[in-house]
Amino acid sequence: MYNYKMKILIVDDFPTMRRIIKNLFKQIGFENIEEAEDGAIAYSKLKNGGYEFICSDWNMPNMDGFELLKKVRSDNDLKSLPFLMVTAEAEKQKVIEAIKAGVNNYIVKPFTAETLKEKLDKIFEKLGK
Amino acid sequence: MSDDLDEIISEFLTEAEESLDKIDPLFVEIEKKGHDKDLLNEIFRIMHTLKGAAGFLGFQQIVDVAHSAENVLKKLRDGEITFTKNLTDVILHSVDMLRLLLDHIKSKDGEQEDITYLLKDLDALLQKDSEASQISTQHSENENIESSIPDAKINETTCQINEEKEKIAPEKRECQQTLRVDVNKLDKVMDLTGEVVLVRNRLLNIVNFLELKYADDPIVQNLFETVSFLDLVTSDMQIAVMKMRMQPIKKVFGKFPRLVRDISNSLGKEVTLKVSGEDTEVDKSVIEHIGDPLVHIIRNSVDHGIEHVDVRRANGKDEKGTIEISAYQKGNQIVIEVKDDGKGIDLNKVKEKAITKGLITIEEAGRMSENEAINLIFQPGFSTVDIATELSGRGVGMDVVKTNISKLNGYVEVSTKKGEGTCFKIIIPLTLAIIQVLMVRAGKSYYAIPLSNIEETLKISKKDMTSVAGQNIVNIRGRVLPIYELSAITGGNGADNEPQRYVVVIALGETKFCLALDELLGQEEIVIKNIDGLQTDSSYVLGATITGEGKVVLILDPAGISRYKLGLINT
Repeated sequence: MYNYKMKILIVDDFPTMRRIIKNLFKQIGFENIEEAEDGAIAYSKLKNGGYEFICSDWNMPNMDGFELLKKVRSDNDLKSLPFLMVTAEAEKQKVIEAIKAGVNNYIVKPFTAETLKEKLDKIFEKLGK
Repeated sequence: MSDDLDEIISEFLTEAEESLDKIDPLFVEIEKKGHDKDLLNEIFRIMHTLKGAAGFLGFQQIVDVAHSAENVLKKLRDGEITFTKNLTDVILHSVDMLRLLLDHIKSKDGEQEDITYLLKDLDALLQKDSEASQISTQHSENENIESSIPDAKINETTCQINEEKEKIAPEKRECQQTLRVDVNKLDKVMDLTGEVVLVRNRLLNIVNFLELKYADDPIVQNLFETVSFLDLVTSDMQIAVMKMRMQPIKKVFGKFPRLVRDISNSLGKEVTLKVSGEDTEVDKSVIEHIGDPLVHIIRNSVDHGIEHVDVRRANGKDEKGTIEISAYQKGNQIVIEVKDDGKGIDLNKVKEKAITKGLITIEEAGRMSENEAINLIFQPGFSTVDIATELSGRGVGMDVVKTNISKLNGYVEVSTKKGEGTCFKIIIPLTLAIIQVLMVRAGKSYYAIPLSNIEETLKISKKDMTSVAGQNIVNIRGRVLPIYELSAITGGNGADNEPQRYVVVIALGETKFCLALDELLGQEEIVIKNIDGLQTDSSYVLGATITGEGKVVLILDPAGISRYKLGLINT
């Protein structure tokens, strides 16, 4: 259904979190995973091209996940990139905002590899249609 | 997980501790500044991140505490509740609790903490104010959205959310590329660099000798140039490695706002803390060892130095006391100052105390200079307050401060003025592993004396030395200083029987004395090697080194000599 070789960008300001999430992706079978520590760094990495999936935290310094999402969606090169937002708990109003801004799905921390896989399945199922 | 879980946990612990360390000073700053959205946001984010990572790792208690604290911080940030001293206390308690929980994880002791009271306290903060915030119907409506949201179907009306409210203020933070390196690996590099420095010194020696002997030989010239270049590169490398071990002193200073706040609150005093020079970089080992002495000095300043508000008012002083902590680099030394505008040290009281404690006799007290009297506070078992307070009376006194700082090859200077305040000045060398020394000879033995402790060197004739009351003294341009034979101190072979003597003037802050010896051989950059089995804090030797000629030479510790010879501290 999806390519396990696709290049994924994980965005989180806390190194341990990046490592945990990276491990979860690896557990599912992905290999090509890059990291960025905030939205601004993520954006410049994305601009360099080659990414096929973004998994970003919401709350970060400099540029948060929501800002990043809006920037990605308004960028002609990037606007169709699948974007998975990581949130702390089901903060409904925030999720609504994110969906409005064009997020493909969201996932609530903490999550397991299985939950992550389910979300990925959903995202790519929809995109495939 | 495919990665080693232990490794992730240890990484989490380090990062979590670092994050928590940031909260204390931020909160004290907010308490001072009042509502500051940026600062609150930063604290909020730290809690938030901590909670997220702890959740993944299954540390439920951390999640619970961080979650409740985060709720309070969120309401605070959004202006739904206001600042109170109680609120600050509870949040700071939460930080303490989180540290404790992290410690349990680190030590793997499997202990649990009772967090129910803390959680209740945190929730109480929310309760109290949620009633008050009922006025804002907009807010409460937003928070009542409980319906789960299907992925794509969004009810347009629920989307009318005030974006401003949730938008997180962009944060200024420098992005630095950093790499975490095991300290042991760094120390190994430092050690090896030391070895390279030693080899370089030997090589320089040989080449200098060759150059004298075969000055015309082009190959020797070539070698000379190459070694000169090696000399330069080695020096640069040494500095680079040294810098790798340097960290801003902020790491230590960051704890002080909270410390001063807690102590002054518990004593009912008003104290403003001013911190400057926190970007000054010092060696890692200084960071590790300077904390406790500084905490002790600051405690003393708040406890004994700063007067109560009514006393200050009566004396026409500003009701709020001030403590200024600063750090700066001076040459190849680091100076850290702790200055208060309190009542100063009463030297007569100090002397009285020292007499009753049997530390000095009445006659000695009479003869004592001001400086000598101040130094009495560093005597073991000395304390000017009779009733041990909760804060200062822990059985450790200022003597521990002095010992700890001596371990860093540093010293403390105290100046005080009655009614105006006291200043503690800690002076430590920039680096501890490589130092500049003066090579000297006394009798048949060679020694190295750290250059940082030497004020001057001169040559005198033996008849300039006189003896007063059994103490040899020497008059240097009108200053009378005690003089000691180095070979007598070290128990080495007898000194040369020459009419002319070399003298090294040692300065340890205000304490000065002279060492008489037979020859000055010159300045050298050396690497301190520890001597196995030698207790450096109870001897006059810092360690040993290997010279350019390949000789093993003892490095003298002037502070140790002053203790041992002048008896400033009982040994």
